[in-house]
Amino acid sequence: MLRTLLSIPVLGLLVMLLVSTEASSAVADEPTCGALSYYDGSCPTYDVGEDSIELGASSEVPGTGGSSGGSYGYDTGGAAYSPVEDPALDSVEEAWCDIQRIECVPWTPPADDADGKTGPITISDIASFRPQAPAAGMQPNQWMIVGLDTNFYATTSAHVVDGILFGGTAQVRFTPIAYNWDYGDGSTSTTSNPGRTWAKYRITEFDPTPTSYVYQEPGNYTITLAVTYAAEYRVAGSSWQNVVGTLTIVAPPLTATAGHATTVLVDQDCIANPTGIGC
Amino acid sequence: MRQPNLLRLSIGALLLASLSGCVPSDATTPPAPTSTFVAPYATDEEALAAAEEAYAEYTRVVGEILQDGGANPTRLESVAVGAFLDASVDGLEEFAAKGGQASGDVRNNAFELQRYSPRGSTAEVITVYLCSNVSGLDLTDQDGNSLVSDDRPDESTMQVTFDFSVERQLLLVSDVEVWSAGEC
Repeated sequence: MLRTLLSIPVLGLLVMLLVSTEASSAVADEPTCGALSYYDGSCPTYDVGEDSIELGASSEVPGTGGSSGGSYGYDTGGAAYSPVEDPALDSVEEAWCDIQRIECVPWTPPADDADGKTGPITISDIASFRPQAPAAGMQPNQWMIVGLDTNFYATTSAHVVDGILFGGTAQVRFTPIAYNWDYGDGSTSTTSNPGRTWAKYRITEFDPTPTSYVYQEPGNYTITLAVTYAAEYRVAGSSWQNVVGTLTIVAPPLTATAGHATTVLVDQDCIANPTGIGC
Repeated sequence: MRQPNLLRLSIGALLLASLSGCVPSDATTPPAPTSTFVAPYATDEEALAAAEEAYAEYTRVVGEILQDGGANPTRLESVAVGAFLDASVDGLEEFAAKGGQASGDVRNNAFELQRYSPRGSTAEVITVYLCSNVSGLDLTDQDGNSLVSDDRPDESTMQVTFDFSVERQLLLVSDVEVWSAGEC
């Protein structure tokens, strides 16, 4: 009798296994640029998601206007957009185009409206400028624990796209202004904060963040992020001008499973020994 | 017969008690509360001035390390912190390994406060925008080959974030990002 009882403490080396979330946060971490990277120009300029659209460097024949206007390459590696002030150059506009390495096309303002006033540039006028697609991220990656905070974040940032506006060479800068989250359980939220990873906030996993959300019921959910961008345009080295209206782009949806966390006693590390007691 | 049963029960209870004592684990321990922290800058203006001063000191220390060919990059610990510090030290060690040499300096201006969060956490207390001009800085390896990227913009708007060090009562650079390359 007693021997049977005393055999129980053999399992005294029971190990608590909590599902490790290390892997999910590691995935979300990006390499950090150090001080020197900003001095030698080796650090990528824009913090864009892996799902961003790579626009090709080819261009259509300028002047076609409308939605068939060319899209130009956008170098995430640090393109310079500095205005040109070299007086030796005949035309500031030409020099500006040289810097962009694109064929320069004279810019003409939009046609006057019936009142003889120049109408504002609207979002539909810049339809040929394709902003980079935003991407949604979540921690833990593709699963959540009912009752605990799941951290959602968007990876997008302000970026400049070259193209043709009214037959002329122009740039459009897209700036994310709102992030609309549809959590797939009937709840939505709109924030102006893109959110960031737990690691970047330097807080513990499952801590609340400005963009975290708590699921109440287990199940499979599809989470959709829509990012609203404001746009500005400029031509030939002029200053940035507002574009009327906003543009909303939906990121590729995330699918994830919410479940209850259960703490179990196991004999050993279940990853090292998946067939061990309790695993 | 009764005695072994009693013994069994008590050992069982003891075991249960000892097992339940195992429940807390590091993974679920919440971080120490830091809600009592309040940054010492009374106004946004004071916060911005402190950030300017801290970034000037950071720039000076990086410049000093570069002038020394990347020697003793851990000197940066006096002005930076966290993953950014680690990445910076790594980069400077590589610079030293190449026999790096630096000439000229970096100029910063147009500081603008993005955010000041005086309460709660010592992390990310202040974030500022600033204009960083690196056109005067030249970096070469031991053979005189340039270590500067061909498309390095002369100046860029940077977003710089500072943590507050309670021990030293000063701001440390914890994150630097290019906000707008080639534009200030």
